Amino acid sequence: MAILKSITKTNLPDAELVQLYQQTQQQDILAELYLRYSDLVYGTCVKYLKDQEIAKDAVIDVYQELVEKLKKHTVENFKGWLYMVTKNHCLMQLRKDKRMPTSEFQPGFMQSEDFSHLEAVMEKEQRLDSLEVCIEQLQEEQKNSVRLFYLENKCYNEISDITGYEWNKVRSLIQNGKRNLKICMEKNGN
Amino acid sequence: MAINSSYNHSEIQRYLQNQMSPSEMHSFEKEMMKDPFLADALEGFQQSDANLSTQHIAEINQHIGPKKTEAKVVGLSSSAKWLRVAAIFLVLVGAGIVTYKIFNQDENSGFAAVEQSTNLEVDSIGSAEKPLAQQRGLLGKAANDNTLKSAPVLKDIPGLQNAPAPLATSESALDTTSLAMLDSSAQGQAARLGEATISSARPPKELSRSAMTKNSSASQPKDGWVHFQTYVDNEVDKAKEKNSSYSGNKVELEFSVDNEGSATDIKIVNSTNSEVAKVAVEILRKSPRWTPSTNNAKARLVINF
Repeated sequence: MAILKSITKTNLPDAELVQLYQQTQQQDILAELYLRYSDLVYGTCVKYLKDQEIAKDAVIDVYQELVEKLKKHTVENFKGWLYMVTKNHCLMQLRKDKRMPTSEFQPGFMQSEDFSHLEAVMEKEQRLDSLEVCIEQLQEEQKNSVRLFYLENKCYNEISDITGYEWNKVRSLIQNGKRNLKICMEKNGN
Repeated sequence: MAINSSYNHSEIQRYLQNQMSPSEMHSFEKEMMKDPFLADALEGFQQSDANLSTQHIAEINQHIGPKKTEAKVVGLSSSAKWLRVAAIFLVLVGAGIVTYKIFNQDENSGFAAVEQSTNLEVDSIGSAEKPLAQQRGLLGKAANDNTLKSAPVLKDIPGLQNAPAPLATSESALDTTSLAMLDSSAQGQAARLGEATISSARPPKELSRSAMTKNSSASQPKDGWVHFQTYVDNEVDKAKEKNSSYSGNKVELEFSVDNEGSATDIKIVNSTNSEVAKVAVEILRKSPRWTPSTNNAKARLVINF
């Protein structure tokens, strides 16, 4: 019986696993779900805590937190929620360790939503004209990077080779360019 | 979307180490744009030692993953009590089987001593003094030698005729327990050894001599060597009565012992006369029951006519 369960579990979407966990409270379901993103939790923890060993412990701690938290909260987007929980955990830990005044990450503020919307916009043919106008209005470097990334589907390394901009610069140019485009498009009623 | 997909650690490492194709990278970067979680994680991995990350990820997976027995126990609770009972039952049965097998092994090894081959000839009918002394001498020698495992070994015993030609000369040693056993059993008639050559040399009766050589221990006649030798002697006599030209021939057979204790798969390794060989095969085939070898090794028998 336990075997059957694990076979069917692995193909369920996050939302269903969350529901299943909230119904049954069986930890192996949570483990299944958590392990889908535990690598990301680890990487994020390293970024904030600056130490791999501490990060490893943090991943386990976050998991323990989830055991209780997921039973109580309503969670629509598990991955996003997990990200928030992870960041909060890290920031709390930093505050404890270093007594640094850090503001807690605001739940609900999900930049990713905006971006994904913009992605959808960018891929629609009908909007290309106004988009083209907005792109033209971008600052030179942002314009190049955005074009190369979105319209020619180049990766950062390639863009870096073509433009001579350094990798991190390419990345921030594209991000800023995107934000500016979004603003521009919204201004134009898109 | 059926499954929520996400980049895992090994893919992230591939990205960082430029092992992805440009279009794969592009997809990865697009995803990063959309997903700040992935972006943060990537930054973290960029600042990490890849090997340490891999190690940590593995540890995490082990810690959280399916091996967590507590969770499973919690899950089963009352609904699967019978499972627990069944499990306990199976364990007991398993233990029973194991003990049974161990006891069986003990019986076998009690006779066959060790997994080597030492050639001994025992005069089962006449004076047991001489062969016994030689046994002892041989054992003494063997005990001093260093051990090797189941290679077929034959030793020449001075003064007694050795039936098969000597094979590889790896030495074998018998440990003290088997020495003791051999001593006591040799006192009887036939020695119960890994390898034994049974010979009966009584000129007036012209008994056959059969030598038993084995590659490894354990197969032997269920009712003992004496009984077996008597049987062989009788059969050989009968055959020689039918055809006196059979005398002086020698046949070496290799065989397995099946589950019922009969000699199967009898192969003629060597013979001086093919007709005699067939007779030998028949004798073996009809011989009294053997105990099967514990490791399914073949056994060899030489029959001298």
